[in-house]
Amino acid sequence: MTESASATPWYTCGFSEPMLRLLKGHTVHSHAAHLLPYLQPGQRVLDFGCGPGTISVGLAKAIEPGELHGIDIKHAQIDLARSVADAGGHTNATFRVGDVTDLPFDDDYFDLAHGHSILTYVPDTQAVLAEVKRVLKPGGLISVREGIIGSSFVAPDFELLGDAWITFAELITADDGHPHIGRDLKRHLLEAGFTDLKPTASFTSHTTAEEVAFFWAVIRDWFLSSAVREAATEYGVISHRHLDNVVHAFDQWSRHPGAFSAFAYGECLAYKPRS
Amino acid sequence: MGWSVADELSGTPDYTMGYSEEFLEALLRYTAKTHAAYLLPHLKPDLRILDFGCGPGTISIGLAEAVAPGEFHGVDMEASQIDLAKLFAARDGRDNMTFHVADVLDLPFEDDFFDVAHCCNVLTHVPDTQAVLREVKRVLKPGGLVAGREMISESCFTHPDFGVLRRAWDMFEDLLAADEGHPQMGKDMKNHFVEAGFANIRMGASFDTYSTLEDVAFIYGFAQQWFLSPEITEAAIKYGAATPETCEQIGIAYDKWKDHPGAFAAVAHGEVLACKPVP
Repeated sequence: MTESASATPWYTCGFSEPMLRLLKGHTVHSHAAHLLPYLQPGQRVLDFGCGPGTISVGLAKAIEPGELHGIDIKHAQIDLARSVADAGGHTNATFRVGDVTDLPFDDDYFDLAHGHSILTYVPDTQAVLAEVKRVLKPGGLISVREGIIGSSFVAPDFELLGDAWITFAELITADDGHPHIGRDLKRHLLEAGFTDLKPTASFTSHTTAEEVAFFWAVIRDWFLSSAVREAATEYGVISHRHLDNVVHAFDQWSRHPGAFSAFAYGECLAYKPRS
Repeated sequence: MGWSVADELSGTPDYTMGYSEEFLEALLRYTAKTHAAYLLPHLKPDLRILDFGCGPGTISIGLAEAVAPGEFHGVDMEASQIDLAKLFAARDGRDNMTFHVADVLDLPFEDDFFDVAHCCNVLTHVPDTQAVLREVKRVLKPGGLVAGREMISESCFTHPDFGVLRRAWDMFEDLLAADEGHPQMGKDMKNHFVEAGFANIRMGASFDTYSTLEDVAFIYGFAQQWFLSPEITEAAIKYGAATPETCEQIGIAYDKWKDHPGAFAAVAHGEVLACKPVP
């Protein structure tokens, strides 16, 4: 998956057009609402694993005139993030290519660090958290939000759609990722030496006709993409025939009046100790 | 219906949880603000509201407050719960609340009587979902609003899991299913409301989370006194939902969990708002 889907280490989802469409729908309001009360004008904020920057620009706006720095390992994502920031006139947002386990910043540099769906994909959780802790000021706030595939669902299920989630989780695991890490954020942040932990959990759901059509298109294009099909075969996760059945069931789902899907996330806020 | 955990606990049909003091303590944490937040913005003074399967009425109070001076009616099949609900309502000085011992399948109200109907974790426990929704639809005015919030047991978790805590949820699901309940009701609500002929269906999902020392002590106490009570474990073993070894392992894991600084638990719910069509 690493090679075939994306040529990017760690990122199981790849950067296909449908996945990008999904990411572009992520905003600070839809995907970082838990953090909004903590953002203040003038803060210096890091978005580690910022992807196409759609959440980043919301963070940037909330902390104006403070600086927002977005880091992603993928050039194409940083290019996209820059264009998103330019289009929105976010002159306080800077994006650069970088590794979240080796951040290009001094110690004690940021007031706040935000990561969304990044610990899921990086094999060494503690390596990321140690590095983020290094660049945070003492007393600085970290916010992470990560998926819980095991708590996510699609209904009605047609006794098949759960397999799509299982496949997704297995592909992430095959890439040394952590498909349910949203459940364990409190424990990981504690282990990394953060304090005053505030974990929560929430669902992002699809239920209106427009949301269902959008979600179906993303799933279809992703599960039918050659990258995912090759990876599924390579890792022996699911046969092409079964994958076709799952996609067919999703098609039925998308036309069902009771169609509903919910992706589960865990969130956690925590602080770098003052001394 | 075959055997029932509820029968063994208290003689009440269909209610897997029973009516122990420990379970009551859990219900007391349920308020309109915590468990009916999705409905509150739609309530306004003078609406007539039904809370079907109201239990001890802890959510009811917030609903009644939101519609006052409109009438609130709470219905539950268990007389002891209605007594408690009346007590809480009186203690709160609410004079717009009336409670009735009745079956949610046979509501003591005329057709087209309510502006709003609400339930929380009721469809999970009643075998015939469509029968409940039909009856609720009957007593709603055309254009009236129904609101329901129900559990999704598969999405719940208690972490760290110690490789065994998920099994407590599995045991709960087996016991619920044995009582002809629906442990994943929260997932499928949109579909059930479509089938029952409701319109303008809006659905969401959310978690109640437990993380503070007080929260963790509460979940631990609940696990000790409900999941791991002799009545429940005996029933679970008797009906093949668990082995004595599993129950013992779950007990040991909960002891470890309570003392773990990373302890975190989340209970998932689906929630629906829908309208009775205007002919």
